[in-house]
Amino acid sequence: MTDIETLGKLIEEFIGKMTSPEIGQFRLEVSTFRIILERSRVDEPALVKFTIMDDGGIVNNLRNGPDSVRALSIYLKRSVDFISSLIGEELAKDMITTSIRPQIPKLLTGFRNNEKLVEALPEPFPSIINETLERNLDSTDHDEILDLFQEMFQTYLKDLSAKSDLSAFKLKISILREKHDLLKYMELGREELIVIDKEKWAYGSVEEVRDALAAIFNSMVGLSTFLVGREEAMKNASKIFQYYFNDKEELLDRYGLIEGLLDGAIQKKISTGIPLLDSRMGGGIPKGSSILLVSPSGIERDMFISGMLSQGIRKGSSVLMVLSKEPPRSIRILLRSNDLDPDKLEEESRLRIVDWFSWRGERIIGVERDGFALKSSKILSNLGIAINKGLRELTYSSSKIAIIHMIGAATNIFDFKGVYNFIQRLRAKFKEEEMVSLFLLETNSLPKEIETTIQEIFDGVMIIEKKPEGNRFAREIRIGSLSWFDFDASPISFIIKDNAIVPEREVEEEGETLEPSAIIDRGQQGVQKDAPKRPSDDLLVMGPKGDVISRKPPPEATPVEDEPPYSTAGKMKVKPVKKRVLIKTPDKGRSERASPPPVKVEKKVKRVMRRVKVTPPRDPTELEEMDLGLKGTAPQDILRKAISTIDDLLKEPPPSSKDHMVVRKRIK
Amino acid sequence: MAERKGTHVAGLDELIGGGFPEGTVNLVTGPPGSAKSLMGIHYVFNGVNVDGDTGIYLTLEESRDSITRAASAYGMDLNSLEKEGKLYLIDLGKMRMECTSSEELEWGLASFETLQDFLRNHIAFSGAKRLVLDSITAVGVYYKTGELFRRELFKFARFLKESGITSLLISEVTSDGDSRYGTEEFVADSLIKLDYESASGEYRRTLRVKKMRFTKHDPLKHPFLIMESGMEVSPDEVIG
Repeated sequence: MTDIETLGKLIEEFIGKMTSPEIGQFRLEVSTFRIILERSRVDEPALVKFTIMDDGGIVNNLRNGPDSVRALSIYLKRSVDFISSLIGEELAKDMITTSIRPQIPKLLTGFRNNEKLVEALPEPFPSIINETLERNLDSTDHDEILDLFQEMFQTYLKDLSAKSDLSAFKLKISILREKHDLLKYMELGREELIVIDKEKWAYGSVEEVRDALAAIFNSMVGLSTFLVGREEAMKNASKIFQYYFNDKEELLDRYGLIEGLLDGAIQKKISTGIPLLDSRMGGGIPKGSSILLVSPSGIERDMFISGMLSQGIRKGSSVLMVLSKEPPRSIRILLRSNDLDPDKLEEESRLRIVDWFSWRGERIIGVERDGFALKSSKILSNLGIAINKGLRELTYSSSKIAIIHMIGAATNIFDFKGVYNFIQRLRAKFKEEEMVSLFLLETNSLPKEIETTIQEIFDGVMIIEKKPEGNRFAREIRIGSLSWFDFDASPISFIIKDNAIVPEREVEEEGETLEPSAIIDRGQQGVQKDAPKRPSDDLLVMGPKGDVISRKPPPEATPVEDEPPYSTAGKMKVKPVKKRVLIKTPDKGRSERASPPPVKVEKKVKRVMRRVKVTPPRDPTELEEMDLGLKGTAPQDILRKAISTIDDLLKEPPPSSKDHMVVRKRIK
Repeated sequence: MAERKGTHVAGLDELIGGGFPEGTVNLVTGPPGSAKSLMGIHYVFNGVNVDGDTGIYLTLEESRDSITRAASAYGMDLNSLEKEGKLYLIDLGKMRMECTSSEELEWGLASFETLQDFLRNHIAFSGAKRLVLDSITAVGVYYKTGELFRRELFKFARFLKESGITSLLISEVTSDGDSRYGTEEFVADSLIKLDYESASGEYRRTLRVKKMRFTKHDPLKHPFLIMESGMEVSPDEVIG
């Protein structure tokens, strides 16, 4: 991919996401980007060869070269500046980062080893790209898996060539090259020789390598199926595969190939996203199991689900979600925060959301469609229909996960017997489909005897607990029960770090502190910060298996509740402000700032309100719950008011962040 | 074992062993607005589209326009199938409207005998494999006693079976009954009852296969929905 092609694709993704209705704060119209392009052409005439179509697609006839790169970078910068001028730099950066980050992996080939191109881009693009590159470089040591696959492919091809001509297979590979770039660097020589150019493949991400290898192997199995029938083909493929990968489960799992190969026939368990918890169940939740997750509602549960889903989706699972406490939008935002693209997943039928929340606020007749989501009315028979429809629509995949959040709400509305029967039926259905299903139940939300009765339905119970301990919450997850499989019930203490559940043991192994001072900065999700030293022994009580099971309270602090990354009230939140917390650390005895300076969201929101003439909320505490007031405003109206300033903005050199204030004052 | 004529209504064929056995007379009953006609439309429309079976839809009450309009709301274009000669939508109701009720009775316009004469020729001419009669309630008005109605219906059903056509007769009933005249279900090979009921402040549509000869069927009450593409029965959900 040339630099210009890479930039063109980046801009196309950028426009696509900024004009998508679910980017968070507000959305722009494609016409906005066309106007900015029109204006940019005044300074960069080369841009006449770059066109934005009505649907946001682009026609890129620019010649590859530094001039064209500069022109596109300037256009991108002006677009970013324009968004910043509407909602402020910080919010614009967050919004762009959240929406564009999931798209970056597919453009990485163009940016890898191309610092010049990355640096030419306006922020936040270089940060997002470099972060993604770093993450991928960590795992690009593909040599081991490529060597093994290359050998296996050759053995398999020899076996196949004894039975048939391989021209059909070669044709299939040439078609697959259109979809998997890496296959362009794989030679299919004579005498069934497959040669993988490892140097080129080294630049592929884990996902790209996984998909390419799985595509070849599955094609071979496909040809074999045609020749000898499915049963025989699967048997042969398993035999060859076992020979090469008998003791390589960890390696395969790292690449998500256990699920991706042989229709997932070698996969028997689904990861929870927490390796330590998986190991307590012998590798994960057994396929076909229905698990009840009893937990307090809040960030712990959200992060657990989010981790399990992102792990599963990255490894090729399809997911069905039933929501009763939040609208589908919240889940999409949660997935985005894990670098997943819910729009694409829904389009590919790998994600179906059943919305059993909206009936509380709107009239739903039976089951209605809302994009790809299915809205169900209140009654359980319709919810059942919606779930079955969602299941039918999910694409075929080796593993399917269902997250069902309805027990608490249903038990409050309907008689217990009906709910019990409903859950029983669902469980039977999921078992039949070999799905792993996770039913969510809030701690202490039901009378004990009912909770116990409900627990009996399930194949297993997992429990998340959260208790205040001094200035923090001690959090634990444990397996309460698991049918048919051996398990270790000892609790795992964990913290929330970088949008994920991290067992404290792992944090300690990384050399990070667990001292109170490190836990005070809650930021958006209670993230632990700078870790100068290991925890003091006097603060920790170790469990029998070496886990931290309790912690003595540190001085001078009160527990701070974490904020979920998305609203449960059906509205997008303004990103929660990092609270500035001043504490005395036990060892240093002096005040220090435990978080970066706070972003003045309130002022920023009011500024945007003024610019678009939307009345700001009366109560400042509403600010965290509001959606900037732009949600209901037609993009054209936002534009009409804002566009009158765009000429002024564009006539001047692109404003730096300092210039912004000047420009804004002048606009006012 | 007879071949099956699938209704291809989402979820329904699962309950009736894949479809109606070929050459049988089947009855669908329900109160007004319970989607009986929609089911009939699905049966003939899907028959043409999925199985290539020519179909006849004989309407005695609803007008032709009303049937085509209802069908098109769910993406079923009956007009184009008619033009291709795959579907015959016959509006006997219009003829009835042009007569007074006494003339209608006198001429036996909607009697089983008249219908039989008409269909005998038409089935031979069209080669139809599926028939919907919407509805026999209108025919019943012609007969003064239940006994007479039953006898004539029996003859009519026998004619339909002998002609080899797989038919679906529609009958309007109240929620607590299975058929309008209390005899149709004995003559028919199968009985599907459509209904709606109140549940937690909402109305839900239900379907129950009450009888099906030659078939191991699911006799439970299932909910169904009317979605953008028409009826969708949920075989996995059971009510009661």
